[in-house]
Amino acid sequence: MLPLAQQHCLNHPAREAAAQCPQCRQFFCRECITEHDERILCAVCLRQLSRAASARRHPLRALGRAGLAVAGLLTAALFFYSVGQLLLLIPAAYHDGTLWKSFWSSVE
Amino acid sequence: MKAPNREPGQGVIEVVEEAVHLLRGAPLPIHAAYAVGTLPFVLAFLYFWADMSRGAFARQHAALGATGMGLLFLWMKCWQAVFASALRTRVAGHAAAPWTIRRVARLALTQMALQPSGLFAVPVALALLLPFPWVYSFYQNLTAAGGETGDLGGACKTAGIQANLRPGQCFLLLGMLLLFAILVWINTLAAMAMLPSLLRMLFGVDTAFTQAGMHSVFNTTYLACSFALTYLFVDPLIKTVFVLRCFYAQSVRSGDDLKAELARLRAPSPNSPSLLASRQ
Repeated sequence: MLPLAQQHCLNHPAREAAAQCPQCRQFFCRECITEHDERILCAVCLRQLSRAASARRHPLRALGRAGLAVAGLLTAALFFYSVGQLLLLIPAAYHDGTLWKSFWSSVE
Repeated sequence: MKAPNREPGQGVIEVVEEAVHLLRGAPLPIHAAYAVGTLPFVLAFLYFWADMSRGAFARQHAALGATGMGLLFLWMKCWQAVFASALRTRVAGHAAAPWTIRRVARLALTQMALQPSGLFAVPVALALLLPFPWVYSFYQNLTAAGGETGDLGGACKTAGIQANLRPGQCFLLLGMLLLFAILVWINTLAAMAMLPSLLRMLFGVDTAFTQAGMHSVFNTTYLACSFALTYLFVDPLIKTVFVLRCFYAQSVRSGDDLKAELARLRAPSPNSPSLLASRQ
């Protein structure tokens, strides 16, 4: 096989090749290749990969996502419930600031 | 001679300056997107705080209140991601993509599934101190850059990679923003303490704060108000800084910063000779 410098684009024979697709092993110019997931791919291989990825999607995936969103809501609610309980534990005199008022009065 | 050991990319001051410039130049709808999400949460949080600290029947409706706070937190995070997305579009110089139902659903899902864990993770990281910059950056990056992929793993991966980029810049930025937040808090507290006295002095309006004197400063709701106001003042800047960090990190591979710069150069300047000639 000729080296890359002597190859031409599969889609544009007049252009010099810029890269070789690792999937189909064909040569392409800059316009015909793209970067996907840290790999250089040609448009056809990228389309096939994305089709395969969408075909792999499980029908329950949407349900799982909704479950994650509900879990997120529960996590947030748990956090604020903990904050609320913590605030309830603190004495009212501290919340009102009267604790410090009486402290300063005793100092004076 | 040995080259100075510096990280490539923009300096801390430049990033903050650009963030301030971007925020000041942002149109009203972008600020409105932030306010629509954040104001209800902040107001509800202050109500929740006051209720839990003073309400006679607070214990009975704590769970309901906490659920409402959780919903408002998610609402806020979604709108903050919309705010960040609009800023990112503005920096890149692209036309804003339409908000389709699919795009909204993807953004909402990512924010709802990932952001709540930050409520626990960030305080824990703050207590441990050392992992704080990474953890805090991770959650800010989720808002700034990882909101619309729909793929939760991809969003986490992107946010994680960007949290690891230029750690020195991240540390300095967080230190500077913390210092700024402390100064804003002191100013807010001073303004809150002086406002009732000014009202009485100038208009003769006597409020509960003037009657309580300086002791009202020690009220926890009063302090919570000062922290909430500080959050409202400082958080948009923090979000903008992280939008810029993510944009420049992605631009290393996409070249979007160069494209935006070229688009700006190509756009006719209002002071260009042809325009000046046509005005005469």
